[in-house]
Amino acid sequence: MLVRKDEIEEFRKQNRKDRLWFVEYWAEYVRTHPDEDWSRQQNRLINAVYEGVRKNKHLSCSSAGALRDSGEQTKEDKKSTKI
Amino acid sequence: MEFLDAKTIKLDRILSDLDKEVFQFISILSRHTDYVIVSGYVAILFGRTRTTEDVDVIIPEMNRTVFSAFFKETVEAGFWFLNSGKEEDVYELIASKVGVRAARDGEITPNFEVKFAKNRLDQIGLQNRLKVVIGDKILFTSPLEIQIAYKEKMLGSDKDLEDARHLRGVFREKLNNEQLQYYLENVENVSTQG
Repeated sequence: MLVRKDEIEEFRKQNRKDRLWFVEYWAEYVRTHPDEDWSRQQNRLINAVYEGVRKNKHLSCSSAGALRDSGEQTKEDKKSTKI
Repeated sequence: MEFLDAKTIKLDRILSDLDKEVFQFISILSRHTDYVIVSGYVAILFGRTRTTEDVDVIIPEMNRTVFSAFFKETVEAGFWFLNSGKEEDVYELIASKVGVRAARDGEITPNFEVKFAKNRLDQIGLQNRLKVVIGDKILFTSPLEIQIAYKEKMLGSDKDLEDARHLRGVFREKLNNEQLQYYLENVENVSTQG
């Protein structure tokens, strides 16, 4: 079944609206609650992400070095590509 | 959080793993230069529920000798520069106003993208930086009004608009609305002036 373009656009619009509602809800929570309270909740997300990064994406020093040596960047590289 | 004065915020947050990395890198950088943290990490520091792969830092231009001392101390402390392992290459990049990235040895992210101030907006950010006091630690960020205007008018992605909305919400009684309006109207011009 084909989904119409205007239905997709409406879905995206609603999704943005829902996300902004949550952003505002959370900002009000941060504004009105002690820093220890909101930061403890926020840290559960941030620390879990970095724990995952350390477990799954950790490079050995030698492979990171190899990556560095093969990836040395020049001004011209930076102007033409985004890392 | 509490404003101690117009340019100082006391924050009693519990430090995240990301915050701890930031403090370690900044403790090295700040021994060599002034700095301001800009963009996504500013929103995260003040509670936005997301993380980031890089932390953007703007510094005044530094000469080769000062950069050399910073580079050496950074590497000795267990960081590496993703752009190149050679100090002269990294200096050439940053001196040509390209951001250079440092991360923990053996890791890619989070990394710290350090750039020389390259326009009037960066200079204003450095001159009017916001001091954030967390326990016995200090960080400097660009003023919130600049961050909001830049995210809304210059960057404009969903993520940036949400960051700006978050900062507007958290600081809605504290923002300098006159300044915010000025930056909203002028950020495009100010960020292209050298």
